[in-house]
Amino acid sequence: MTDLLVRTYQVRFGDAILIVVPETVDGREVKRRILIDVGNAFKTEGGADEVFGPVVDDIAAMLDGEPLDLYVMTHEHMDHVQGLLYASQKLGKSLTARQTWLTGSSDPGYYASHAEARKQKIAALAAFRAVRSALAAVPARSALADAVLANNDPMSTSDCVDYLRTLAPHATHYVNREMPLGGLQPSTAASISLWAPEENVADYYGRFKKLAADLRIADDARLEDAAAPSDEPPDDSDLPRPLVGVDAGAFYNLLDMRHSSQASTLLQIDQAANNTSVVLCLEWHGWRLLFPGDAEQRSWKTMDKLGLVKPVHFLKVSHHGSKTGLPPNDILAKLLPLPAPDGRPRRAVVSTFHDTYPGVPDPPTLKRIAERTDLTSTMDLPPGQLYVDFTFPSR
Amino acid sequence: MKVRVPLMIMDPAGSQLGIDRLVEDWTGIEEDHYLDGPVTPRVAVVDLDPDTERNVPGATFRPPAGDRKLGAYAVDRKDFYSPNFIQVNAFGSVLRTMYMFEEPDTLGRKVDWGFDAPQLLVVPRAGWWANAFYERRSHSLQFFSFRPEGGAGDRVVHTSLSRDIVAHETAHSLIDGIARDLYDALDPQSLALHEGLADLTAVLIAFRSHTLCEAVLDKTGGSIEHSKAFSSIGDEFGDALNQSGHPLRDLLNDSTLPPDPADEPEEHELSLVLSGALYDFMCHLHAGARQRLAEETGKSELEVSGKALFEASERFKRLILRGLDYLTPGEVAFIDYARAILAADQASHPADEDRAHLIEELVRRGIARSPAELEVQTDFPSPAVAAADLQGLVDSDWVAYTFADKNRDLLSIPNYAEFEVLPRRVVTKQYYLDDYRRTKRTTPVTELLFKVRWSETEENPPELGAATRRIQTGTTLVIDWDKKVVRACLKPWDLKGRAPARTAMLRRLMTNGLVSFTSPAGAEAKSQPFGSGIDAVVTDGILRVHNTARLLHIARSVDDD
Repeated sequence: MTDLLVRTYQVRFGDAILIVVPETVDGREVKRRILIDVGNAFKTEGGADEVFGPVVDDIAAMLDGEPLDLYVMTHEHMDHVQGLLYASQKLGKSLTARQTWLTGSSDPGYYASHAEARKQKIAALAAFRAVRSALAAVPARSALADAVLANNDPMSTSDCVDYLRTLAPHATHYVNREMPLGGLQPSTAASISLWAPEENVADYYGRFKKLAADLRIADDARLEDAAAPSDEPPDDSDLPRPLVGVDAGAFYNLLDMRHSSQASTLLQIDQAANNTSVVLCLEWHGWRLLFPGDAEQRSWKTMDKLGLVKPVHFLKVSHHGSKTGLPPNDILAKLLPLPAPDGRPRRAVVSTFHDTYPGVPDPPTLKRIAERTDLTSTMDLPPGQLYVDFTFPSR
Repeated sequence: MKVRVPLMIMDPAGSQLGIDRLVEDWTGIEEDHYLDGPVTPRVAVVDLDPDTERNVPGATFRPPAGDRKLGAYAVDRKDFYSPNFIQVNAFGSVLRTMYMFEEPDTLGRKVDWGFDAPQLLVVPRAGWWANAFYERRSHSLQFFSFRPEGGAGDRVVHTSLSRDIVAHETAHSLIDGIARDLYDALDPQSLALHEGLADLTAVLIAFRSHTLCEAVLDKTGGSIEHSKAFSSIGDEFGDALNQSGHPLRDLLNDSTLPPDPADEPEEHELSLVLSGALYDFMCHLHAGARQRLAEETGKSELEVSGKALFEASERFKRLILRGLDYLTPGEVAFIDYARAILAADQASHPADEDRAHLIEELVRRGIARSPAELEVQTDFPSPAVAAADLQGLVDSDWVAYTFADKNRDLLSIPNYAEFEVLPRRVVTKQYYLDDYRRTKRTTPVTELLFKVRWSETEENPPELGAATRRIQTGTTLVIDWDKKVVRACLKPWDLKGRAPARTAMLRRLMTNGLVSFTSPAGAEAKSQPFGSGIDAVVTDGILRVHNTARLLHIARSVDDD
């Protein structure tokens, strides 16, 4: 039997991972293909869209005319969802799938039936609008702030998620850890389990909850209203200016500090969405491979509390190597114990890009992972190299 | 030119005072000049629309004209929620708190800010959040607004309309100008001291409202011991935030320190131990003054309770705020502050009997283990001080360094330490000596405040950034300028014993992801522009932490989970 293959594409700041699982059917080897996310960030060098053409071409070649056996959307962020829509609309290159798994809270009916999560979501959207409005008043705001804003823009992500629902129109499933996957397993040789997200995502808002409680959210507020486009940014004549007699330097410094604080709120919104990531564990012939999307520490803690965390042989580093995506020390030690419990090789990959997202990748974080396993970064691939492969033999 | 401003004397909602008594005029403002905003050289109101962050027109200044001898700002004093009222109320409340610190019988000088600029920016509607804070880096006080959960209709709580909250945050800015090192301290008691004093400042401002005092004392039969009217901080805010009917904090409490410093609670809760002890002393002073005045005048205690409250609160004010001048630089614990206020008080009231009550209370709360720990020597001769050229010490860094180096023993500077002499300060304060109770003034006393600071290195758990960490400490020498004697010389009481508390604090900060590591040169780390504002840097394997006072928002804003 051929080896299991994990192909991590170089999409700059984003994820696109193809898993090819060999299995034997009626004495003949067949391959099941699972694609996890295709996307990258907006507005920066790390979000260059031209990368998607060759990536989608390669995936199509690997499919050899067949549809994907499974497409997984880990969470609703542009750097995970925008690639296939772009390829379809701009390049005329489309993929299809036998089934798609989308993170549970992306179900259009999800928030109607989850009141607490709905309240948090509306608050997050309101905060997003407030922050975007405030940041619009900054003449020279950070490009990083723009990237975070763009990545969390509900209008843009909703188009992409709508498109992903069309990949397998009759087999789109909204998944969470608690739902049974029996009939949905794409391969008989591999076993897939989900470590996250929980069915109720309200807890993932964490520290944001307190901020959310202070926002003016009526009990009957509508999600659709909160997700509506923000007002047009004002022209320069509306920008705040110091009154006569006010220390102008201090005034503009004050605005900068306030915007930094607002950006912090924005990051909390970003983290809440990251924590809704599908965390997919694939086991095949004794290998355990983990693909946690952008799960952050709150999600890791929940997984650990539920006793789900086990040693793995392959880790897709969460959230592009951010400090907050790294599991806390005790959980990391369970995930990648030292020494390795079964002597098999262990590997990890981080799909990331410089100067795109604030604090990502975080070198000390990558160093801590590299202390436990062989770590490959897509940033280290030579120019023109489209992907990096990891193979796992059946013996 | 003096200016009249209307000030809220209680939180607007839930007050038992009639609406016409919620606002009283204050005519004490006297700044160099006034502009619309209000804007003055030392305080400027920056009102931004909380939704759009665009400029909101500031209240218009009206200079004296005709029969109107005082300046004023154009404002409808009955429309509490109008932008102009909010602006002027915040402006007046900030200045009223500043003036209390600066009075001749408090610190006796204009207070410098903790930042290198003359003007404090006051943002009365900083956005939607149930909080308020002072921020050194932006030279600002920021007051947020919120709609309480389950609140009726469109009810909005503006924290800038709360007398307690404005006084509290202004106190943070003033304390930062007097005891700057508290802002970077790692000892949770340093931050709790900041917080507790800010709460007590709010109490002192409440005592200055004649309308409020009269209303409260009438209801309590002249007592403050069993009424929460003064001891509760942020009534409306606390109730709206927690839906509990309780204020944010209550200084009438019985809180004590845990035996193990590593078990101390977060800084807001911890502050209640100190502020509770001091508020208890305030009640003691008031009860004593009430009883004495009743005996002296033949009136009932209720009749004299207002005068007694004034007298006691003035004494209390001098006690708690003058202690800041005597505080040692660097990390301080409650006991260091306790020794500072006792030294300041003892130097001016050597024979006072009330201090014994305070000492007993400080021991009962666990702030000191025994009365002996709180014994301080004051007004004693020193050959070094007698021989010193005091004006030279003030004017010349070289003279100051030479003096400190020659007198390491007096100043408790270790031989290995490279120290820094902080800018010297000469202050003149009004004292009342033995007869303070009868408010008989004496000749003001001039003090030279001479402070030296140095670094110590202590062990740090390696998982918290580095194997060692650097902390600041120091000595305060107070010299009677005219008599050339030492009024007090204070050094840290138990710096090493507080290390577990500092470790616990650092662990909590790091566990909550509140520390941003910056580059060794002190530049902001480009990779983490959205940090909490609490910075750490590791150089040569030594960790240094800065800006921990960013935790001191009026309400806790951090989850511990």
